[in-house]
Amino acid sequence: MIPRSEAEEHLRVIRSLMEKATIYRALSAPAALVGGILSLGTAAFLMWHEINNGPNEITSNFFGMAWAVVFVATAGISLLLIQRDAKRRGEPFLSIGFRSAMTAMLPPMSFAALITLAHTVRNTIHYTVPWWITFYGLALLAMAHFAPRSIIILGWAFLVSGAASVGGLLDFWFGSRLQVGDHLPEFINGPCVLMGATFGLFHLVYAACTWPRRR
Amino acid sequence: MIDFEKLDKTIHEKARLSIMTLLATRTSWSFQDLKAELKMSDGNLITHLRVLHEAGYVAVTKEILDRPQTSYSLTTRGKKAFQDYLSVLEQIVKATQT
Repeated sequence: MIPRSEAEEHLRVIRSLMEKATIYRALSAPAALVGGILSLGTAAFLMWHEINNGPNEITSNFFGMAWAVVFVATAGISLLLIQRDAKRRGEPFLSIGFRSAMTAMLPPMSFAALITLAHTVRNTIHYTVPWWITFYGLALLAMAHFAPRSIIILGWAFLVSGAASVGGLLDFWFGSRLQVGDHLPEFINGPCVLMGATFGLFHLVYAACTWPRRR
Repeated sequence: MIDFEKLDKTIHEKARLSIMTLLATRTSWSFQDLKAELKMSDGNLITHLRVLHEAGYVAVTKEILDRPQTSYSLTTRGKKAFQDYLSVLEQIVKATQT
């Protein structure tokens, strides 16, 4: 006969291992590294371009296109890595974890897309930057119940930065004031610094911290 | 009355229980993934996997993807043995609560 404590201990081991095995990392370290480098590079390029060519040189559409390329490239690489990882594990690409992640991220990402569309029409896409940061943070936090702790921390970092920026708390440093209307900022340095600091640096820090744990 | 003889001694060993648990969560696991998740040495893991394989609980698949890879999965017999083991453990806990 085995004592109750031993049975409980074995059940605890089973539960903790099962929970650990069902954790899903929707953002891998290599994808975050690529996203971070591309974001920093794009932010630096846009700022350099404006410094050399004068204010108002970067149009709303140009700004939007540049970041759309970064988004598509990073999302594409991320999907490729997820597919490769799923193949290695012998799981389908649309695994339960992947579908759960996409379902969780859909509402905040849809809202971000809607705001982006509205500002694209008005030629004021620079002003969506605080919202992009906020909704990306919300999307990461929406996966909290099955994501590793590193993704939750990254989500909070984005959400706090986004909320501070939307609330105008970072205007003093970045000039990233949220405005509605057809007024274009004279300089786009503020939005670029914000994008570089969040989508660039935050992702690089995340990649550095999670790189040793990647498989 | 709980029949403790039903408690599968092959699975009851903690390392093998961990292996069986992980194998129950996915279709298959590569040797490297199992090793990393359980933090076991190659030799130790191989020994326990061999015991489970000999008991008919674990199937082994060797394939060459970009490099040779050995994958492990639970057999039908292994799945049933794991479920039976779980229900006996639950019975023990319930019986001692009352």
